[in-house]
Amino acid sequence: MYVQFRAADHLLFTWLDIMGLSPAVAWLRAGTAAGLTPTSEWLLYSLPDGLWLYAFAFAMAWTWREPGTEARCWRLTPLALGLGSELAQALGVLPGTFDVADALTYVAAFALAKLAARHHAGMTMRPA
Amino acid sequence: MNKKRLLSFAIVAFFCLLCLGTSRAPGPSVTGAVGGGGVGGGGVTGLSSAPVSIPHSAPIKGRIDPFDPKLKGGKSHYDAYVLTLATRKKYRVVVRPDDDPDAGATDASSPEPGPDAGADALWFSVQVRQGGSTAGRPLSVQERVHDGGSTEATFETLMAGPYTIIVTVFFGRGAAAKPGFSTYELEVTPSSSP
Repeated sequence: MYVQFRAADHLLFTWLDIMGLSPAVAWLRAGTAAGLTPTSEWLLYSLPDGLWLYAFAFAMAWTWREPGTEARCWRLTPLALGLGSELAQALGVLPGTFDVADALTYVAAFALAKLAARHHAGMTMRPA
Repeated sequence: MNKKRLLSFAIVAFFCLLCLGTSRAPGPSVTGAVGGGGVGGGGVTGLSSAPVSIPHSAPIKGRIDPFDPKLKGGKSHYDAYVLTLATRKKYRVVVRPDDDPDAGATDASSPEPGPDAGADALWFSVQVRQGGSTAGRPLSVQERVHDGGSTEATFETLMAGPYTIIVTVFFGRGAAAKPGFSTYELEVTPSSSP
């Protein structure tokens, strides 16, 4: 989504350029049909954030499956970092725009990741 | 430190790196002050009115009151304009001051805004935000300041809809005594080059 639909001033594009992948990026961006461009701001801006947090939370929940305070802290780290970054944006500490939709997407993604990890691990995770 | 903790730190580092990669690269693309803060200890005088909807087929005239007592050196003023633009298209914004030789010389090409700018300096900045308000998501703007006094910027739209163009004017220290101009011209046109 970033490579195809977002403005090309993200650091990601610099990294891809260093890796010699600029032609592939240009090909992908040029090949995007105008009709496929997401028309929803949530799809374009909030969903990638939510997917990032989902993967992060799932990885932590999978790594720390056992009960206990330390495991709970690690499992909460993704949500704390996600919501913390939004709060920092609201306070002007981090660059970016605070968005309630992003914050809500983080919470939903975290809850989904917990459910998925519980399902896959076949265990009952205690609430964090 | 056990393996699990090491793995956890590695996971955190990996996802922080991903987050960093999807943040915007630093650079001169978006400058200016919107909604507070100002430049160099100054303050933004605020919108003279709510964002104005304008057609982008013709240049529009913006006006800054040269006798506004709030417009002192080191302060800034901004105006916002809302346009409806097409999707995935590059646009060119030109802000062109209407110099008034009788009111005093200006130096719109000063590279540094704020109180460190030249005594008579006036310095333009252009921001583009998605949506019909100044609180929308900022878009990347490639900006150039020309020696002739005009500022030119290009940006690319992602989707059709309203976009807010914010023109900020920074006043140098000596600008209050003789503001140098009272109007500027804003032109937004489709651009074929980035």
